Amino acid sequence: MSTFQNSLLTLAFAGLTATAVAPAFAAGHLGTAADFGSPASANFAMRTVVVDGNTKWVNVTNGETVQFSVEGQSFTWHFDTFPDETSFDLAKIAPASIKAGSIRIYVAPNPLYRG
Amino acid sequence: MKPRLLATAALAGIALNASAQSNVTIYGVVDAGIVAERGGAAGSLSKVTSGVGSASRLGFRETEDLGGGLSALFVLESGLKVDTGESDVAGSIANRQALVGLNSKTLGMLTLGRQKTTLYKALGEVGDPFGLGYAGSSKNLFPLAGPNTRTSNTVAYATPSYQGLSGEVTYAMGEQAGSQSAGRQYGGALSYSNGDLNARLVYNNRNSDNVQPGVPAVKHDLGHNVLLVANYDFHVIKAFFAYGVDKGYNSAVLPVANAYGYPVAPKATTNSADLLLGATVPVGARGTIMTSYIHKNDKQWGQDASQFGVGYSYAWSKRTSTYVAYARIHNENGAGYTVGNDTEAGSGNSAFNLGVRHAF
Repeated sequence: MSTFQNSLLTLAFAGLTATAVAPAFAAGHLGTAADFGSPASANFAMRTVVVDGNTKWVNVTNGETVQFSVEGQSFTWHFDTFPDETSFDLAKIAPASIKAGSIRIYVAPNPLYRG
Repeated sequence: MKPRLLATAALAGIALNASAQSNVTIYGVVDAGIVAERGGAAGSLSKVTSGVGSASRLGFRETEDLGGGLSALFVLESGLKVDTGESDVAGSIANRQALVGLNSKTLGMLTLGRQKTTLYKALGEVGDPFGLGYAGSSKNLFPLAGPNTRTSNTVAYATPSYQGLSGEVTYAMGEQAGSQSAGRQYGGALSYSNGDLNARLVYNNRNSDNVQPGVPAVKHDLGHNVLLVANYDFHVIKAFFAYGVDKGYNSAVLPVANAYGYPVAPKATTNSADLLLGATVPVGARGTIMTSYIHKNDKQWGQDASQFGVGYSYAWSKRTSTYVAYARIHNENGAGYTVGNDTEAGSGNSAFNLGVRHAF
């Protein structure tokens, strides 16, 4: 009986832990482009950044929507990163067809949430 | 039945139309914490405070694409107190920001309304590792009280960014009949962002005259602030620097009149300099340690003050974090500075914060 009860308790505990942990992971880093924001329509871009062979990095602001033009191809990204995220590779958000090389994105904090 | 269906269909059509044309974003911060203040004249004080890390706010904004690289934008942002549900400022609906304007990708952005000063933005966005919040806020010693934070009746112009370089000028009208200069305030900023480096040089000029009819004219010398801020990301540590020079009347308004109940109240200085050295350190994937040392050098009255602050913020998600922070101020020669946070000026020379911040 005690074994049965223990098993039940273990199951219940495991269930609780799983439900408690699963959303926490979902809210944390996913390891995908979604960690850094989302694709957006070019209409919403406040500026266009032309990336060429000389570009090593691009400075952006969290909450900003930027159109990137890379070798004639373009894509638009709305930046929405974790608060402590300060830089990452452009390749992580660029569509697979775009050659982002080793260009780094530097993210300044969203001014709407500062001060 | 039929007319009702038709009406529903018509309404749905309207709703669809409206959403196709408008793209209003609702945003805000809901932040509250336990604050324990020590060392004030009235003794220890513990309380629930709204907006400890970042002032609680509710905002609406939109950018509308007008074609040809031109867009229209507006921001309406109201400050609110989560601890009581009250508005930050009674009778105001958008005390924190209210602006409307046009942005051109090639010519820059022009906005009109109630807007943040270049001085305030420089410390909040670049110079202060605490982002002006928590016990370690640079507002405790840097001159950001009153109109040095935001001004009404302001025209602001910001250039587009060119090779990491951008500029901004603001002009807040005094709106006093008979004088263009009385009560006006203007400022400028030169910003540079290049990879790991962010730097900004700002100027603030404040006229405190009052020449309105029916009251005796009040005239003062001008208040000037020059501030250089910078941060550099070494990746294991992000270093912060700020140095400000404040001269003239109202260049450094005291945040609290006489917190320690001195027989001779602290005097606002018209000649001072402020230095900040700080850092943020990432701890694991979600934690951040914030720390700073600030020194106020009062060249007029010798009422110097030094502050040391340290805090830790843990991000549970992009939106939610919990935090703990502590700061202490050492006042000299009858100086009366206090440890506050982003929303309150504080009551004593040390304070402890423990709270939760949610941004949406």
